[in-house]
Amino acid sequence: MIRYLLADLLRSQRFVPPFVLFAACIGVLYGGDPGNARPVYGVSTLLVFPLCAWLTVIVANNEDPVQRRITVAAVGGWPRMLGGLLGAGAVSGGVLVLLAVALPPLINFHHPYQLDDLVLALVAHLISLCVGLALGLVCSRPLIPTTGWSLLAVLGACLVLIVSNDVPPVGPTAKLLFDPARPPATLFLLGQGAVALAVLLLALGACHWLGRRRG
Amino acid sequence: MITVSGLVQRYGRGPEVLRGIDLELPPGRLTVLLGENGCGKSTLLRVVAGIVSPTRGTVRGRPRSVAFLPERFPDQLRLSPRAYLRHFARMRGAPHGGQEQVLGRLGFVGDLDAPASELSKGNAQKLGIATALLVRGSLLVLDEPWAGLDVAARAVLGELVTEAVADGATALVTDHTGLAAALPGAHVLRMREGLLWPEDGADLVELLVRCTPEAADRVGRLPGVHAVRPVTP
Repeated sequence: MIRYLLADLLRSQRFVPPFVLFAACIGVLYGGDPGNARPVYGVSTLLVFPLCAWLTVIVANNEDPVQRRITVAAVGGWPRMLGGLLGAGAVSGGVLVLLAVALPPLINFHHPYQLDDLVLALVAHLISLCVGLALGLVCSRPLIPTTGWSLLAVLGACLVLIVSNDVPPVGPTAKLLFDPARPPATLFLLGQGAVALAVLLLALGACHWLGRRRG
Repeated sequence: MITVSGLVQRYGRGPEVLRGIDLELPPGRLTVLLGENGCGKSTLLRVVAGIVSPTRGTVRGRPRSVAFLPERFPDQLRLSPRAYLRHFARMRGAPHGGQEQVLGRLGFVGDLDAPASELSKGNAQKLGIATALLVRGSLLVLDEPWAGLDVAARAVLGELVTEAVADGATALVTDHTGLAAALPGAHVLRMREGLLWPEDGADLVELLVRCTPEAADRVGRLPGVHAVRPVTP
């Protein structure tokens, strides 16, 4: 099912705007001397969060609503459908995460990148991906039926979460990266990761409950 | 055997669309639902297909993968018919190859490798039928499958449904054309006021009337008329 959803996504070309925006932001971030590795990774953590949510909305709303019914019946119901949407969203958002983490050492020669930096950045970006997936699923069909309102909801929620940056898990994780002197605390990251997974599970539960009722 | 028990469906705070449906769908039987527009046939089909959960009641024995054909098959698919059939064959666990044979029998006209959005309505419907018939012996839930098909394809669809049922498929079909009810072994039920009633064939009288298509449409809407179908002289 993930292959089918991704093939449909590729054909639709709706993934292009978030990727273009991502490329533009990465270009601005890493143009010239971006400074130490961690703070810039903090910025890209905040950047990847709304973009992953946007991509998830695109994946979730890409099928026609009538077509969605055919797919739900074919795959065996809403739990499997949501699994497929989650997988396709994770693959498309995962590409952003990989690019955001792996590209800087290849294009930024001004500062050294330690393995610790890369691992910390990967975990932080994965936390953003998780919460982005959750937000994208909640802000798309069946809860919000039209893509325009979905995107407005995603942008609004992201703005609130990024501005009030003490709300776990994306804001505090980015703050950890912004302070290069602060040592990466494994327990802290595990806690933020657990919150991200809990948010994702809650979102899946809500979508399952609503999908089964609305079709 | 798929067993539907005490099915009640209500949307929001509206009235009950289904008011306690009990239905048995054994393998190898074609069940045809008749009824006025908006009487709840499509809702029942969605519940049986596992797309919507009922307000109350249960559907037991449903297979993992269900072939669901909506009344209007989407005509804006971006994938090509060949790719669409291949993906659905994989998702539904159908054997590889031969997925285009049904399209051939239905007289499909169009490029199998061009986006399906370029297909005509009838050919898109044929793609939907071919997708539904990918797996033998499965549960077929078909909402007005004859709608939008040309005369030749209508006859072929009758054959395909009969063959699928003979192969052990469980078929639940709605139909306004009268063609499904005329298929051999069809178990015909009528939905009225959110409940299913057996359609008693003993009271049916067939009349042959020569009239315009508009008049035939009006006759079809008269109370008590079971179906109107054109007959070639």
